[in-house]
Amino acid sequence: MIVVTKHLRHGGKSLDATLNYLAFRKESYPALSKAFDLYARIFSIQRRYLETIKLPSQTSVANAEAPGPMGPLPVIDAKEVVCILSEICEALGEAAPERSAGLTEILQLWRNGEIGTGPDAASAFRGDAPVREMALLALNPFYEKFALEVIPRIEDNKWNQPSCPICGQHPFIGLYDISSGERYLQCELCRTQWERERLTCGFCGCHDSDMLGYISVSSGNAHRVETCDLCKRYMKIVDERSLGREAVPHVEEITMIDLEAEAKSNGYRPYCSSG
Amino acid sequence: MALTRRDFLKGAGGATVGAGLLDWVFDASEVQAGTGTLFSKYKETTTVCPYCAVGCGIICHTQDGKLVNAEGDPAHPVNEGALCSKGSALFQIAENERRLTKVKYRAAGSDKWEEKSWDWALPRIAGLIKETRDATFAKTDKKGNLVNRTEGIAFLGGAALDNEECYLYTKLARSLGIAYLEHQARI
Repeated sequence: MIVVTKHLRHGGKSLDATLNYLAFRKESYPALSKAFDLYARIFSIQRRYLETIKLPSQTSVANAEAPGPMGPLPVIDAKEVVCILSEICEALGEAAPERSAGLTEILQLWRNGEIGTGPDAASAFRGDAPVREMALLALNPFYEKFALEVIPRIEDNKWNQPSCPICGQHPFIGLYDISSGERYLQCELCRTQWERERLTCGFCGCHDSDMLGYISVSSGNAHRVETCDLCKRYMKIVDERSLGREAVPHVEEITMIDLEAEAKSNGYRPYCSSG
Repeated sequence: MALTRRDFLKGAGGATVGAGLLDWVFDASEVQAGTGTLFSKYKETTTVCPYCAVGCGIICHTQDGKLVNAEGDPAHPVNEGALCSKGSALFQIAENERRLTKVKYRAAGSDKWEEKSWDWALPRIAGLIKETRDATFAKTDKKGNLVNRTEGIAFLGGAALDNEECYLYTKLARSLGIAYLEHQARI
């Protein structure tokens, strides 16, 4: 993990560290082993592209002196996105063969140019298929590469906002740091982590303790969803202090589906939800 | 409460990556909220440690108004989440089965504690203060200076008192004629 300043860092891990972490969590969640195996493959694909793709040089001179969202975002070749998406669809198709036809239709959306390569690609798509989620997985290597280049150039400046300072996307999970207990939110696209003060809604900034709360199995549990009754948003949180080790948030997210369903059944929605 | 997959994904971008993708890929017909798991709601409130004058920040976790956890507040500029051994044990101030909930009185020369009511205890305390004050009150000192003080009572303040309480207690002590007036912070 790149730690540049106290307030801004990157949550990406090496492939070995990610796969080790997946194995660690698989022991505690045997019912999710198919999901973990699928994600091991997807993370491997993402990592390979992260290490091999090259962003155009003008991306690196983005205005990195003032934290984001940055001015110019990476210029991404749509053909490269189709390549990575094809591999991801292949992995998904092998995990769930009955979905192959649906995956082919999704891939065609990109081949036809119906979905672009910007950070919010596919956010306007409506339908049952997880097009937005697949766009995030396919675009991640490009935006993560961009973040890794830009973050080291940013001076210590506290970005206390609900969206990512690098690519402007939403956070999808947060963590309480293992040593400080401070809250960091992680971007769903580029995996940048930024500090966001606790006891404040990460989305709307509400700090009225009567409106804020969290849902969990118990107060000391490593997993919770923070809730806000003002904006009705929720944020999944992993407490590294309770977990006993540094977390890989994009793996932890898979283990918190039950909590997410509980939050939704109580009327809350994720940050990425519009309106 | 059971949610169907459609309910779960309802709303634009209605799920985060893992949940939305996995549910579609593995064609789960239902996503059960709290399957085999009971979830509860909690609140977090900030407070200040009541012990010494450092004033460390603390986050209290409550469930239905009952304290269930306490931790240092990482955002507090004084302690940045750290707590000393007393602050770390603060939970027991609120929740401890060994806390006294009744007045305990041990008479002079006795070897046992008796349970008493507040209606008995408070008038007794007030009466003893008055008796002691009257018995030890000095209008003048040895040189004949007017002092109007009691030499039989000392009053000690503590860090758990705030400024306003200290002010009122000082007024009370001085009005009784107490000269031995001290505070834990000075000792």
